[in-house]
Amino acid sequence: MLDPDSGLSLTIARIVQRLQGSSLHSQLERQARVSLHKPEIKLESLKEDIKDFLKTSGWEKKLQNAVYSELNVFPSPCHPAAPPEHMKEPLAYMRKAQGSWEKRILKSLNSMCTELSIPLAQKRPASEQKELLNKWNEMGTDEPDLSLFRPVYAPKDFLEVLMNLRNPNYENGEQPSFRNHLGLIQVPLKVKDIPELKEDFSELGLNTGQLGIDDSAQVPPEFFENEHVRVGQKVLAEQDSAAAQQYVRQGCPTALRADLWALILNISNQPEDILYYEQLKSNVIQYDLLVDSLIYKDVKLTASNDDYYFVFEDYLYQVLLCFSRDTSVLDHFTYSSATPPKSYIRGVIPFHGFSMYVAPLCFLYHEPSKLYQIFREMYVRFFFRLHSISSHPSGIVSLCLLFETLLQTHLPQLFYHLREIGAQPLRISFKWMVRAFSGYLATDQLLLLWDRILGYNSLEVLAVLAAAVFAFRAVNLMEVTSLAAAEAVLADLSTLKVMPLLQIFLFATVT
Amino acid sequence: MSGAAGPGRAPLPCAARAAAALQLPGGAEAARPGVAVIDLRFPRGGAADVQEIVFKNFYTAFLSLRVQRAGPPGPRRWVTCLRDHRLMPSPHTEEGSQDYFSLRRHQMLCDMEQVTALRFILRQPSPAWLHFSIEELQVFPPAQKSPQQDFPSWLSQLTPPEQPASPHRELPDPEKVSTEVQQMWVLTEVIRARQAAARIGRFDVDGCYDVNLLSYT
Repeated sequence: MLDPDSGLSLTIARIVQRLQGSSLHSQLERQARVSLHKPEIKLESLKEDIKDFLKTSGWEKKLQNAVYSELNVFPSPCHPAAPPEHMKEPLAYMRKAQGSWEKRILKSLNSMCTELSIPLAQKRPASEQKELLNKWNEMGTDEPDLSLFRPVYAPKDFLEVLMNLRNPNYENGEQPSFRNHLGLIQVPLKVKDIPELKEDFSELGLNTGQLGIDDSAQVPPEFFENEHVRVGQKVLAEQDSAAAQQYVRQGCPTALRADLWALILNISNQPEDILYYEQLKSNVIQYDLLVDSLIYKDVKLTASNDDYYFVFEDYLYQVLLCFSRDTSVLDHFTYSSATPPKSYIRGVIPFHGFSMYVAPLCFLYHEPSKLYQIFREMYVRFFFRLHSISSHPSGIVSLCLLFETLLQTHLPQLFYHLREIGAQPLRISFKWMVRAFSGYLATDQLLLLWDRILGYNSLEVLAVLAAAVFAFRAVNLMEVTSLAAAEAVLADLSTLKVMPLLQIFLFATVT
Repeated sequence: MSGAAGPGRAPLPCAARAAAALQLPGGAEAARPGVAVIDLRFPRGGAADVQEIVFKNFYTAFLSLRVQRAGPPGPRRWVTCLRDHRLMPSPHTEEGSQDYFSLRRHQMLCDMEQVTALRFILRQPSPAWLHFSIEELQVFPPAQKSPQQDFPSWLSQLTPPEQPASPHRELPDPEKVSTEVQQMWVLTEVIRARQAAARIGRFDVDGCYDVNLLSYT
C-alpha cells in the first residue's frame, strides 16, 4: 500500500490536474484579476490579500466544494506499479466475469440489430428532425411500434450471473463446509456486521432526531423539526458541500431537498452546463440510435405504468435520450469495473428498469438541464455500481452478500425456512436493491432513503433496508410454503416507513 | 515485468526462486502448511543497497522478511527486518488479496545496506485459499540524484561562438533570438508536462454516428 505522505501528494496532484483548465479555474483567475482594482489589495502582500478576498467573497468555498466532490467520486490513487485495470477492479476473476457479461450483452444487442435490420445509429432525415424538435416536450404522446424490441436484459438475468461468480483460488468444495455460503453469493468479500454498521450509521441512532420519524404528526415540531429546518437553511446559506452531506444524514426537509442535493453533488447549473445540455439535445434531434428505442420501451413498460411517475414520462425521455449520447459519462469507466463497447457512442446500455433511476428525481427538479445534470452525477457516483460486477463495498455483489449475511446472522430461523422451501431471500430482494428501491417504496420514503445514500456516500443502506423489510414481515414469511407465496407477502412495500425499519433493525434488535 | 519505476529508478536484476511450501519431515502426503518461502539472490553473489521492494500480492496474509548481509567472512546470519507485516486485513476475505504493495527502508527493523540475499516468508493461515504467493517482485536501490529533467544540460553550456561582424543591419541579433527560442522551448516543455484533464469541448468525428455493429473485442 502507499504510505500516507506519497498517497497524499498523489491525490493532490490528481485533483489539481482535474481542476486545472476547468471553468472554475478560469472563473477564479478572473475574480483574482478583478479584485486587483479593489483598494484593500496591496502590492506588498498581494498573495495574502487576494487569498483573503477569495475567502470572503465565497470563491474559496466553491473551490472547497469542487475538491470535496473530486475526493468523493474518485477512489484513492493506486500504487504506482498498478496497471489501470487494477484501479477499475483489483480482483482478476471479477474483471473477467464483467468482461464476459459485457460480451453477452453486446452479442444480444447485435443480434437484435440484425434480426430487426435496424442500424445502431443513423442520421435522421430533415423532416423527421423538424418533427422531433416540435414534439420535444411531449414525446410521450408518440406511439412508435416497439413490439419487436425487447429489453437487453432484466435484473434476474444479472442475478444468475452473480450466482455463478466463483473465485478460482477459493476452496469451492462439493461438500458443504464452512466455506460454502448458504446464500446465493459464493464470493468471500468482506462485509460489515451490525456493530460496524452501527458505528458507520451512528446518526441513525435512537438518540438522534431523524426526518421520517421525528417529524410525524404526533411529535410537536418544536422538538426537532423546526430546529432541523433552521440548520438546513443555514447550511444552504453557507454553500458548504461537506456540511450539507453531514446534514442530510438526518434527512432533508422537503422544501430544501432540491438545493441540498445539488449542493452535495456540486451542481450549479452554469450557462455552460445549459449549453452542454442543448448540444446533447441537438445530437438527439439529428441522430437516431437503436438505444433510443430500448429507452422508449423501458419507459413505457416501467415508469408509465407506475402510479407515481407516469406524469413525468416526457421528462424521462428528455433526460435519458440525452444521457445515451453524453461522452463525459465515459470518464467514470476509469474507476468502474465495466468497459464501454468499441464505438463512438457512450457505453451504458439500459436494462429493464433503468428509467426508474431518473423518475424520483423528477419530483425535485423541473428544469430539464438541471434534472439531467443531477441524474448524471448520481449515476456516475452511485447507480453504475448497481449493475456492474466489482468487489467495491458499495457494488451490487457486496450488497447482496451483506444482505444475506445480515439475514443469516440475525434471523437464522427465517433464513433456513426460506431456503428449505426454495425461496432464497436474495431472489426476492435483488430487484429492490438493483433499482435502489425506486418504484417499490412510496416516493417520500424513497427520497428519505436516497438522502441517506447521499449523506453516507455509500449504497450499503440499501442492503440494510432489505434485511429490515424481511425482519418486519418475518412472522408472515415463516408461514409461507413456496417462493410464489413469499413473493406475494413481499409484493407491496408502498406502505412501509423506511426510517423506523432501519432504526429498529440496526439499533433496537437484540443481538 | 509491468510496473512503472519512478524517474531514474531501475529494478535490480535478481533471481527469485519460486515459493516453496514448508513441509514436515517424514510426512507422506503433501499437506497445505500455510507457510511458504521465497529466496532471492543477486547474480554472481553480488551485494546491493535496498531502498524499496515492490510486489503484487496473491492471497498472502502475512509477510516476514529476512536478509543476509555481506560482512566478515564466516557463517552468515539471517537478520529479520520485517516481522508479520499484515497484507490482508481479514485473511478469510478478499480484501488486499491482489493489491500492489511497497516496502520501504524506513519500515525495516535493520539496515538494508550490502544485502546479498533476501528471504520472504509468506503466511496464509486461512484454509480457504488454494494457493498463495507474491508476484512481480521488484527490488529497487536508493535513487541516484538525477540531473534536472526539464532543461537539458547541454543547452546551458552553449558558449556563444565568435561573432563575425554582421554586415547586414536587418538581421536580428542571434543572441537574442537564441535566448527567445530557448525560452519558448522551455515553455512548451512545461506546458506539455502540465496536462490538464478538463474537457475543452465536444469533438465531432465525421460519420461516427453511422454505425451498424458494435465490436466487443
